[in-house]
Amino acid sequence: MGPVIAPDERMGEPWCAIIAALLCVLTTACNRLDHELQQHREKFESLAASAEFIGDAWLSGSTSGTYTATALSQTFLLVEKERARLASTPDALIDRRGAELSDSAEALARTIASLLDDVRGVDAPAVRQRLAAVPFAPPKRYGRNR
Amino acid sequence: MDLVRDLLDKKVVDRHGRDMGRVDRLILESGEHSAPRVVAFQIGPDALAARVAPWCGRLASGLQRLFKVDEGRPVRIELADVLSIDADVKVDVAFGETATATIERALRRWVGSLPFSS
Amino acid sequence: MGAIVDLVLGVVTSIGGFVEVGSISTAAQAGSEFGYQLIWAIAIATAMLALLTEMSGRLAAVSRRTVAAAVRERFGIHFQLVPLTAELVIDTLLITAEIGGAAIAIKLLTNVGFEWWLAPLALLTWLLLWLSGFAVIEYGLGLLGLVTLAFVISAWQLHPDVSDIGRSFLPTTPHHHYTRYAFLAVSIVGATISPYLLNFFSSGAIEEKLTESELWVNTTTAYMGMCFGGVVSMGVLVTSAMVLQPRHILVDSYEQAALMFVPVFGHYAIPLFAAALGIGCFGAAVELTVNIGYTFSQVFNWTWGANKPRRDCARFVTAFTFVLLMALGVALMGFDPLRLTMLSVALTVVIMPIVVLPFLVLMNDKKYVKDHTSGVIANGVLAALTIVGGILAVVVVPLEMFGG
Repeated sequence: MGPVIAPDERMGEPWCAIIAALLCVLTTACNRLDHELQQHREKFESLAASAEFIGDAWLSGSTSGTYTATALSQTFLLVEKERARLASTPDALIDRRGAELSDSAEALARTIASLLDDVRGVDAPAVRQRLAAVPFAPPKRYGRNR
Repeated sequence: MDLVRDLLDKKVVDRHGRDMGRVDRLILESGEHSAPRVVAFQIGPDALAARVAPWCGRLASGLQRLFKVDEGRPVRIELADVLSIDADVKVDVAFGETATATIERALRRWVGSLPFSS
Repeated sequence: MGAIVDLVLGVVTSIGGFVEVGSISTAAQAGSEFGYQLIWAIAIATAMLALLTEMSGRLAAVSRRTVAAAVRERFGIHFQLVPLTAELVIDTLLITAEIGGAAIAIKLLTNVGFEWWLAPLALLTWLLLWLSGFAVIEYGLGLLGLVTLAFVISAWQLHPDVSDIGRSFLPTTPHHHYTRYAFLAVSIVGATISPYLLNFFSSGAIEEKLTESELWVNTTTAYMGMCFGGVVSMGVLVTSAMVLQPRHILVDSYEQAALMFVPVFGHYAIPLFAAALGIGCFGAAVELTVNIGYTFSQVFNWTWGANKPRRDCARFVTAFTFVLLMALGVALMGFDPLRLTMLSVALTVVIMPIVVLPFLVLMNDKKYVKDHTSGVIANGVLAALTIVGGILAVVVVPLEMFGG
């Protein structure tokens, strides 16, 4: 005769399955949210780096005011598009990391708009100052590429 | 002769070597006690469209009537008028004498009116 | 002597005409996101393109039939309708993307919105086709397109590690974003092996009256021209990898891509990039447009030819005019040119099997190519390309959704 399973233990098995399934769903949702937030971050970092590069190129005389204005305008539009995409996911905004990302992205958009204004006004010192405080800008490392 | 391989969809050129279109549809005749034989072929968008699907053929015919380019269509070339069948099908008619030239002539009116068209 | 001149011109213009909006955008994105890792995709796609263009030219020279005409005759209208319809849709989108690319090139220099340049560029395309013969279309634009060698010069001047580049000719797995990597690899194939090039190449062979005795010119032009052209594409990727990737810049716009020239060319960077992008795109737009005229004229056997008086080939002129107007209409709807480019190259991959499959039959049919049939190796490569093309056609849509 095999082990007798007590009635309450038997009743506990479906609950374990339900909890396990819920945990799976939550984990998948969290992973998806992590992945989405990471993608948004990478995009904003790219756009910040672009704005920095464009500003540096203008300061060094490598690019004209015309191109710089065009490029900064386009970069600004891309930041706004990415912000709109971030804002369209309520879960991302509720999340603390998503909310911080959204705030930094707004700051980035303002910085780029100000850069654009400074370039149009041919104000090199102002541009230099703003480039030193671009949100998301990664540390400069122009080492060997693999 | 393999009708599909050697005749259908082949280039048709007139007696002067001018492109006339392609063999778009074959016309077969069969008697009570004889095998079907090719007696003619047709050239034209309506003939080709009808091969794709009957409703396509009706649509093409309708469009031709709408644009008033339906006279003499579809162009039928009797087998007796075929001079040779090798790389192309050479026929003993002139491009300009048949309705195959209708659309080309109609479009030439606007193309030819533009400067430097010649 | 004439054959040598034809050969040199053919190779040079193949180089100049290789790079256009699809290859620039895919290579730039690949370099900025994955460094050198996708060089193998450019190499393989270029080799396949060289093989297919050589076959197109050989078919035309021996059979006096272009690819479109031969497919109609050999496979019938029911088969032909599929690639014909697909090419009409995709080539219209490609013309839109190319005109958009050229418009953005002008925007880079003027800061005037690219939308304002679409109609003038479409008109310029039409005028060039209206007024010019084949030599100007093929050689004139191809020679101007040599400005794209700036990508090779830039890559050279950045002193990349040649051994790293050499290793990248073998496929490797990426460290991140696997779906994106796969999507870009497939897109590079789609951008390189554009179906229109095959019929355009064969039409060119007919226009220039290439004969059986000049097949060596065709073979050399196809392989040397395409391979050197592939080097230009690699120049885009390497420059992007060395300039944009270390700065974590992902290419989402042509304005960002233009930055890749700054370290090497300084204040010539933007004008040079704009010239390369503009001329490359404009040249491709002209070729795509005239090729639609060629394709329809050859399928239905209308009089055609860029060297013929335009009034003598009214249906040929009407066909390419109509498609150019459709492309302009799509462009004026305001789609982002970079996104449209990526969509077009993905669609190109979808129809690749039906574009490649006819070559397996035609190049072994002595009625068309006489004794110049393909060898075992070429047939094997073509069969493999058809199968791989079929697999890519299935995976490209999900890849576009998840990695595009």
